[in-house]
Amino acid sequence: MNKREFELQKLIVTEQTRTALIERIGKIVCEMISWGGRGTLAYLAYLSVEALAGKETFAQILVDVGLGEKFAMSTLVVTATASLLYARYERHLRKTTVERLHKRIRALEERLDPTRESSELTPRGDTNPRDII
Amino acid sequence: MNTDPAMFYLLVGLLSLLAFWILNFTVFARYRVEATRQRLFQVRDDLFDYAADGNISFSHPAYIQLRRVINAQIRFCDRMSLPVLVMLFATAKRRLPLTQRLQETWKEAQSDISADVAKQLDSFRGKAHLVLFTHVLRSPLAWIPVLALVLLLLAVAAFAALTGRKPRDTQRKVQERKESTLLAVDAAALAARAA
Repeated sequence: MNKREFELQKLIVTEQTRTALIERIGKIVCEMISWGGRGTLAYLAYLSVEALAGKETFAQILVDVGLGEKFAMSTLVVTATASLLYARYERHLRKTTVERLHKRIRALEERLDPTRESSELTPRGDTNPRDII
Repeated sequence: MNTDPAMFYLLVGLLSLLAFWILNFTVFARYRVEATRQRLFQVRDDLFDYAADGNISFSHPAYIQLRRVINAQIRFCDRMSLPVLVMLFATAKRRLPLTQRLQETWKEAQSDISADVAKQLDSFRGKAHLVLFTHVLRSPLAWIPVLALVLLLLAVAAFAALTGRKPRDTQRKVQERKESTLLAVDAAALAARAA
């Protein structure tokens, strides 16, 4: 390590406290929004259960401003679509990872075993198009 | 007992909204981190292949430095969020000695390699920054401020077009801050790694 690199490391170590503080504040803000949203929605759901039981609650106001059938249908559609998109993205991520790792595993194994045979699946792990009946 | 169907619909709507909220802030958040790490792995793999092809030695300071930064980003990208990025942007001036030194060390490490190789290494570095920036933008927290920023930029552009004034100085300042923030992101990852 030369002098410049040593000085850089020193500055990085000095920066640690500020960075840690910024990261902690960021984490608290994110958690507050995440849990705040959950708490609010769960509380409103609880109020609507109470209203269904016959009690007068704030939930009646939400119904009065029009959060009824259309609101339920649209949130259901949005949640279902988001779930499907999530599954689609996860699958894409898995296949991209398989493809990325496949190249390296193949290259490394071929060094030890030049006659190595392949399963003939595609690099992304799908059935070979020639094998589809 | 309240038999109003609207109340039942409200309950269903609120519960599905709760499910959507949890999906966004928990499930999708974990996916974002995993996807970002895979993209950074890809950049690191490309860097490794570039060195393995003989373009730069594995023991070259520029290679080691860049790999160290990418590794730190892979390890700590879960900490990178919009509030953190905003705070890094806001406190960029205070971090000036470190970011300047980081930039100097990077340029110094690149001093004995050809311009093409230096350009390629800068490109890997830029890709890693872009991956991290996209990671922050994909957060549900970022959607509202990003929309607000787009509207603000459109308003500024419209104002500039109407008055015939070019906000050059603002552009330069934003550019300086942007570069400084990107270096601060590297510095933050390195500082967390050194902890």
